Amino acid sequence: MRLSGWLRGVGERALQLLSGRRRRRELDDEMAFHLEQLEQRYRRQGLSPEAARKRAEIQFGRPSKVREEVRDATGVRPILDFATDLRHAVRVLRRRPAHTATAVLSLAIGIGTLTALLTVVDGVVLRPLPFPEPEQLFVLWGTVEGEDTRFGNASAPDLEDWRRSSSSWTGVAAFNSERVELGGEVEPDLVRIGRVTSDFFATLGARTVAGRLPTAGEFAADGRVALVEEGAWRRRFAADAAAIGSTVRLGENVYTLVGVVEGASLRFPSDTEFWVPIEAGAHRGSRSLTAIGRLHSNTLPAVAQDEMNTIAARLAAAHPDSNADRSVRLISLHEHVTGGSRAVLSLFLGAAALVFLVTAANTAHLTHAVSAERATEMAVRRALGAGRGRLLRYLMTESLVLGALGALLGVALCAIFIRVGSGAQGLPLPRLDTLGLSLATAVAAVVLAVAAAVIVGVGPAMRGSTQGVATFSSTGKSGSSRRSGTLLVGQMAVTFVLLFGAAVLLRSLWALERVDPGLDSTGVATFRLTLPGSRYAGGAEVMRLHAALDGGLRSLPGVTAVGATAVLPFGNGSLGDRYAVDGRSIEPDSPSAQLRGVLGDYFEAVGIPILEGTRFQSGDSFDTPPVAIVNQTLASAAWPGQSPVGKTIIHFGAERRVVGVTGDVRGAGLSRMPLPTVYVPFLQRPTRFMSYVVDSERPADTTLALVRDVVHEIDPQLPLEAVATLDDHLQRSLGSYRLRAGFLAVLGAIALVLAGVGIYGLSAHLVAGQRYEIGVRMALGASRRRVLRELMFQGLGRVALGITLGALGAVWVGRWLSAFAYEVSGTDPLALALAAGALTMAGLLGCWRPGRRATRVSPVEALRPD
Amino acid sequence: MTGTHEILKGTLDLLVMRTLAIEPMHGWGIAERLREMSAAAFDVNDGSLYPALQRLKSRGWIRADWQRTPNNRRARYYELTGAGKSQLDIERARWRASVEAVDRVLDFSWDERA
Repeated sequence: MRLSGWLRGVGERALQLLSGRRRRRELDDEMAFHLEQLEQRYRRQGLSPEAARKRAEIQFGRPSKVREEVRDATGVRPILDFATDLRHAVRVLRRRPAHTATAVLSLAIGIGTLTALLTVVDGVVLRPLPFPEPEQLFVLWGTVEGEDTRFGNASAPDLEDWRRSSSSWTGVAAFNSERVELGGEVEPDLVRIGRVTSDFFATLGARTVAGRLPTAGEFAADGRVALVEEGAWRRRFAADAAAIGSTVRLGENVYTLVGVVEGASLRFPSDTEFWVPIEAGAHRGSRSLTAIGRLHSNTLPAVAQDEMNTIAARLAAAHPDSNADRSVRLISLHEHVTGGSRAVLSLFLGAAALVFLVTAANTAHLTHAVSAERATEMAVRRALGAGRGRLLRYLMTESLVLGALGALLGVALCAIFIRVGSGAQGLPLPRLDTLGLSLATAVAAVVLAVAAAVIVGVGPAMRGSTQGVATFSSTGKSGSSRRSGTLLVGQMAVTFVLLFGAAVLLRSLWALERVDPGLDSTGVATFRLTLPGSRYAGGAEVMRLHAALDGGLRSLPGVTAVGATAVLPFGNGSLGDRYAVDGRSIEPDSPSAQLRGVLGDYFEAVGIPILEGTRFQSGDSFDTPPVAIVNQTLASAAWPGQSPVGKTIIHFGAERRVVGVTGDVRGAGLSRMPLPTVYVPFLQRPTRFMSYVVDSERPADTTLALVRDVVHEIDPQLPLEAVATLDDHLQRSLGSYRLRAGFLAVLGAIALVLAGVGIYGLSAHLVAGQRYEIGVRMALGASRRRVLRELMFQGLGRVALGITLGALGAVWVGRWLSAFAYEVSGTDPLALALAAGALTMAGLLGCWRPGRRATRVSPVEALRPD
Repeated sequence: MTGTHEILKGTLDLLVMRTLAIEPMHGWGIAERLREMSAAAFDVNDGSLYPALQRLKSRGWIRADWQRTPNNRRARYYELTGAGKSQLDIERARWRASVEAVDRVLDFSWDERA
């Protein structure tokens, strides 16, 4: 009832506004009729026509006043006023293009950055997963008491038991993910496939755009059917419906395509192009699967968790060798996908919000300075009868126009940021590829435009509208400079926090870059081969391939060493297990070590020193006694004070004789301590992946350009990927540090520039207000130096206050910032000093010019009235 | 000024609705009817009726329609809507209540306290 009334009101107003001219004519007709009737009555009462008309007009009142009052009563008055204000505001802003351009650009940077971040947060973190009822989906994360499990955590027998014993789930499925070569193309290509159980699609709620989902029978472990992702279908099959039913070779096997899965509904696990049946090991301890489940709609996660705990306890009792201390934790699939990106996004979001505040505060100064110059205009308008509320509305309209223009340009900037960001490789954020301008962008832009308008406009508007008529010629300095002084202190404090954050992260990055990685990456080119099992089934074939590659690569100019490894340092690869030494057996509490198979001159090529014993011999092969080389960390942990050479170590089921000790490598990333590592001859522990390292006296880039030809001359069908220098890998491992430091440094730099502009603007304004006083003092003999010094102190006092407040804020933020820092404390004194120094410099520059200009003016000039 | 009362603010709307409760009427008719009903006690400019009519129309309490007068003149007739009728009851009750309250104060006598 009330809503409909309100709607009718709005509708009526819109109608009134649109039908203005007709409405006015009707009112005129109505009034004419009324006047006529009045006049006739007075004539009937015996008045002369002349007198009767006069009386009627008096009785009726002034028609123009009635017209105006009727218009006010329709409620369209505010809209008409707004239109007038808008026209005037645009005219005024166009009259001072420098101020308007600076203000709009500044706001656009702030609004654009924050809007982009909000869009990213919405798209990456907040948006629900593209599955039906996504909140019912969970990862069944296998946990081990007292351990932080990162990798594969469910085995096929466990999964079967969970399915059978639990009543919480409508489906429990499992998958793992792998890259295999796609057959049948000219240039061999590697694609990511998901190996999944048959109920995977039903559990997630996947839809097909062509073909169909497979039956459980078809998707049994030895089934040879596959599904293709919609995007891959468009790219690789030109969206041809005939692709359904055709065959495709993925890795070892040939599959028949039965369906195309809608891209929006499923690209999971990430980047998957094809899904094929999984062949999971039957061993309960072989945990290579990630399990997902969909809860019954009426089951609470806590209830399901309790049930899983009970089942896990029963399994632990029944299979102590494989399931002791093992349990299952339910993690929502949304959390699983997005959880890792929250910390860094909240850092960026916080920084972007600070930048927005800085840009708004800065625009507020600029507007303050300008509005002081407009004191006369405001006084005239008040004198002519404009009410206080009316002036306030007008001034707010002006800042709304600035805010709206800033938001428009900001959205354009935001679109560029998003375009660049979603195309960027190696950003540690999921779902970036699906990012675009969204409703969230629009809402954020509108809200920020209004927020900016309020920050910018309220100060000047309040002052401008309350200014008395008497203040005609005064510059109205006292109130305005105090208020914009406060704003400036706030701006300085926020800028300080940003600069401090950037300094902490930059110092972390520098500290990381000084860390000794334990190897020499200069001149090393690398690439990865994926060996098809069909042609490289045994050690002999791999040996032959390596001999050919070794010869080919060595013939390249400047090449001094060629080697290969299963897992390259600084990648994401990890292959670890518990070990035991000196004939002892492996216990549950045995320490873990990484395994690295190496081939050829690997140690020489990447510059890992052999500290003791020998390197592997070319004779160490698949049919010779197992040997190992351990790194220093493992050596000193397992054999403190002794030489490991000649000792034995059991690792990954083989007992090996230690023949040497190498230096440590920070292979898991420069910020991580070296892990205990066991190197073994590659042929004694072959994998399908081989990363070659080619050391050259020439720059690695020149070698890189040649390796592809060498490989394809030997085997044209061998897919080559990750062709990059070892330095690239090293730098990429710093990527997230670099991204964070870079982002904050850019924002800090913007804020610093704006701080300088802000101080400049304010002190120019202050100095202008004190021109008369300066003139008097200099006429009375005050030295130019002294006056300048005092003017600078005025400005710098605010900077100092801002730094003090900012330092308090920085210490508060620092506790949280230290999670992103490396060997730099969250209250790092040097970072505090750097931020303070930078801000002081900006302050000095900002104060100096206006001050100097004021003291250059001759007293005679300064004392002359306007 | 002239023995007539300056009309209480907001009361005009109530009076206009009351006149329209009798029958639909044009602006001129409302003015005449008001003078008649109040025995010319209220002195308002006839023009001030029109903003009041616009206000009532915006709130949906009356609606307007161009019609012919008995003398075959075109005039805009105003008519109370359903919502207007209930609003008139509300306003009337409110007016009575405030008149009573004012009366109580004016007629208050210290002797009645006991």
